[in-house]
Amino acid sequence: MILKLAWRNLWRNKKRSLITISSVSIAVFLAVFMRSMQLGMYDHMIKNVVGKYTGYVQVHAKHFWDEQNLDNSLVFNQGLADTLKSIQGVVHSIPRLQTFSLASSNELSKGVFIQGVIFEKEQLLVDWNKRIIKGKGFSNQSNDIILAKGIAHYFKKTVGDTLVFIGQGYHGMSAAGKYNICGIVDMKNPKINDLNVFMPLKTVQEYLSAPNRITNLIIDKDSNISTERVIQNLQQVLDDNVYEVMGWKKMLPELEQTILADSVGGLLMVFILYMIITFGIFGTVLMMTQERIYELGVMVSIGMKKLKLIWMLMVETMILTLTGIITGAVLVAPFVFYFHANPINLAGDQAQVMEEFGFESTVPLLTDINIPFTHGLIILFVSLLITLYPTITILKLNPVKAMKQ
Amino acid sequence: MSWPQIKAQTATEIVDKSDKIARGTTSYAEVKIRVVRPKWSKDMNLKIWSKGTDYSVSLVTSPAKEKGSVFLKRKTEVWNYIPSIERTIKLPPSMMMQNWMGTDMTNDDLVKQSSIVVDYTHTIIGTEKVIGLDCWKLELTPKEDAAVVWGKIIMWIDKTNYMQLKIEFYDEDAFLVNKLIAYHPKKFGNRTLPSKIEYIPVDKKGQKTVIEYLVWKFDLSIPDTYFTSNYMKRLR
Amino acid sequence: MKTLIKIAWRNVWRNKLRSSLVILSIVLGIWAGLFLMAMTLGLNEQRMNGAVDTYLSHLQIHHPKFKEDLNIKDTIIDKKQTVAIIQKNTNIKAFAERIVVQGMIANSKGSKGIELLGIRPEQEKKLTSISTHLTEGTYFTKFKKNPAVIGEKLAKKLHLKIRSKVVVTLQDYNGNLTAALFRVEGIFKTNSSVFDESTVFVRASDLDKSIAMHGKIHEIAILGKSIGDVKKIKSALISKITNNKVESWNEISPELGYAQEMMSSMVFIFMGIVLLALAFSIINTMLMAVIERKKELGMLMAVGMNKKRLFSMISLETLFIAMIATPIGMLLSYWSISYFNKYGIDLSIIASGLESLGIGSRVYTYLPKNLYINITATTLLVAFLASVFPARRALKLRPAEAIRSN
Repeated sequence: MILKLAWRNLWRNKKRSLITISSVSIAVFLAVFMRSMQLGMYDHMIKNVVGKYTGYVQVHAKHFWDEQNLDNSLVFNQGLADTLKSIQGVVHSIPRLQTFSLASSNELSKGVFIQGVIFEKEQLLVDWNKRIIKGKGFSNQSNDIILAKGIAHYFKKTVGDTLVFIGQGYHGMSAAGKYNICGIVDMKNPKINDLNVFMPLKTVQEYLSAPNRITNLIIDKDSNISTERVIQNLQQVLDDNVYEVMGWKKMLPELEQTILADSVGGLLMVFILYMIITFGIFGTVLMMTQERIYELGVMVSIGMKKLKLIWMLMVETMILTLTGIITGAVLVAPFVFYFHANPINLAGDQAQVMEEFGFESTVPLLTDINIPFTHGLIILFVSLLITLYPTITILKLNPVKAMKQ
Repeated sequence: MSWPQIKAQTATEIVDKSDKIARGTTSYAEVKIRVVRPKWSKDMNLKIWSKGTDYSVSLVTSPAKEKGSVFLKRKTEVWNYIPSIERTIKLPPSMMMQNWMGTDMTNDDLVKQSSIVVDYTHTIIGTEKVIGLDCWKLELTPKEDAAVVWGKIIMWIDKTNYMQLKIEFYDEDAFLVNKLIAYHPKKFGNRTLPSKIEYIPVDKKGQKTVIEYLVWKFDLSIPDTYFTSNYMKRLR
Repeated sequence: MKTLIKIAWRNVWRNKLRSSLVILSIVLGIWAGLFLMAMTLGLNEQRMNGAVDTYLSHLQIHHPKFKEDLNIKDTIIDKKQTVAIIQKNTNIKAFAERIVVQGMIANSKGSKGIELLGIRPEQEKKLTSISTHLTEGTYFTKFKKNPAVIGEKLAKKLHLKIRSKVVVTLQDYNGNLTAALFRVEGIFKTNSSVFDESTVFVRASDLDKSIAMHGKIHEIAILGKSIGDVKKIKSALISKITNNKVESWNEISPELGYAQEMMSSMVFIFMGIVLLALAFSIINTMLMAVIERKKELGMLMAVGMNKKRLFSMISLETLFIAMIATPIGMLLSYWSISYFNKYGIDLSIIASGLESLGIGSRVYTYLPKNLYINITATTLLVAFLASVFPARRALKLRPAEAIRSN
């Protein structure tokens, strides 16, 4: 009954209803678009740095992160690989053996990170063919290595040259090796480019006298499952006296903080947006109430309970708001989906900055149902708050006075 | 050499003598080094030739993977020859602080051998017995400009044979950081020297490096070419 | 016209609540938008200034190949002549000569790779602000023998205090390994923890002796009278200094310059969105006002008010509201931004993330004056445009119908 009344009231003042609905729609549209853009950018940034290199989750031998040396290395065998594959959310496990050694050639020497990798597995994370700038890429030769471009530049080496490495191996053994450069890569990140050399895993294991050993296990997770969930699942299965499981946030705290800092800024912006719209909606409700004082007075005097009246007004407001939210969400959806599939291309200087930091200069929007949901809820809540005004008005209503208007 | 050294010696003379006794004008030694760690240990065998304080060259004879590696010290430079890759590398400053061959000594320690005489002022602060032998207890304080990291060093040198039987290395806050103990004195030619030396980082549990001298000869003639970077690959 | 203005004005105040609401929303919109802009600009400004003040300066001169390999032998060619040219330039406030070498610093607790800068304290003091950023100790005033000034992060890493000994190992000019002892005289802290961890300052004279530089240097840093003079100074120097490379701060650290531009454009986009939202708010409210006053407006038209006048009246109402709101919004913004410009906003929750980006944990808001004017003008323009829609709506009323409506 109340619903019918509320509906008819709204329909009576079509224009006003429409105006209110449209303000709410616009608010939802803008908020969702902005947030999708922002969150899409972070997601993209994380994908680039985390997904393609560090991995969302890593498994190490216990204590490895605090003391990154070979004494804290893991044995990687088929048994471990199978165990990991059986864990929910784990798509691939990618082993790496990482060590710090001195690279030397004639007069020059430099400390570098040697990454022992299984190239076929690394290809699952990132397409190496896109990163190779010289030479052929992976080869089957155990003596062939790939240099990141910063190192190739420092030593002035190119494909076909050799480079020598010396360092500390496992259990005190000295490590020394001479290898052939078969390719040069651009890892799209200046830091990674200046310090890394990629070799076949077995080659590094032999170099370090560390058979079957690895230092980092990159876990490639299912994109539908959250990082936290995968970490939990892994921790349940793996013995925590032997292994440690870490999420990217712990390994790259500065990235997380940067995103946090920016996100706070973004949320502030959305908050401001809401404030403005709130005033708009309030204005509407205000006028709505004022205008209908006479009509409300009549209703009270013919016996309608005040509470029911309040409820009716609330229902009116909610119908307006909900319609606005749904409209806004529906309107923004095609835009979000379009820019998700066709990321916005940043141009000019902006693009260059992003690329220098190792990010692609495109911004894909995030299609997360939570975004419109959250914002919709916020606006609904806000509009409910706004109905406080008419509520109070009605409570204070003196029917006689009202009808004199 | 027995007790009555009629002139009273200064602390510096004692340290200097102790330093020279273990060095001679030239020396040749075959040593076994054991690196001890909580979860593993590693044995190496080396042949070491030295001439004065400026030149020394070490050849690794075992284990098989490291056989033929050579470390050459020429004054302040350290060179490393690695047979498996047929390369000679001069160690850059960044490597000087790294551990030498996985032991508890740094590459820098190899270079600064007569540092204890040259870089410190010495004072006798007492006498004590170490492994049953009467020793002078000396305190070494770094000279103002000396490029050494220690705050002070306490040394025990035996009065009969001038053997360095115990050395304690303290940082500037007087915390003990490293310790060296020497024992099992043996006669090597006409010198008596400890045949076993342990180098122990104090706050790292279960960790030490043990050096055992199997052969130790002094004052033989060693050609100068032994101490050149070109000869490294020919050393046997 | 004057009557119209009076009527419009009174109309605005007839419904106090509604008008105040609109005014308030405009004020808040402007204030929030400007404040956020100021915060963002302030953030980046700080980052830039931090870098410029502590070591970058406005310009730097090097041997053309120095930056590539950091080879100790790539020293400034013809130092005397270069310095003479610098001294003659009247736009240059100060300059400093530096030796720049890579080395290892060690004590009994550990070692770390660092960049060692041999400086002349009297010169550096005029140029950079490190001497005023000391958390402990003094800046080359007390110790006579081989003093060093190190960053707080490095001090923490190696457990160093004032008077602690450090041994620096490096290669001298001739490629020989050499080591030298220094004592910590001062500990500094800048906004960049990376800088603090890997930079050590010593006297050029002490370092020169250790590594046999014989007076040669690697870098000359230059401070202009104001950052706006940088381009001028650069072209003046380039015309006279042909054998060494002259670079401005944004060429040496391009990320700083770019970040500034990127932030600015993002903020403008945001401001645009805010104004859009505001416009809708205004349109919404004024439209309601028109609809509500249908009867009255109809009457006015029936009585003879022509369309043009009606349009103007509604527009004026909107404009009045905007003209009241905008200055209030501006003033509020100005005061709050100036306040936080002086005292800063404490962001220590995310401090370590900021410090790794080179920003301090206190943000000082900053807004260039011309932006205030720009935004005021834009807001008024938007308000005016927003008023068009409701005003046009009013025009569409048919007087006879309108009078009879309720």
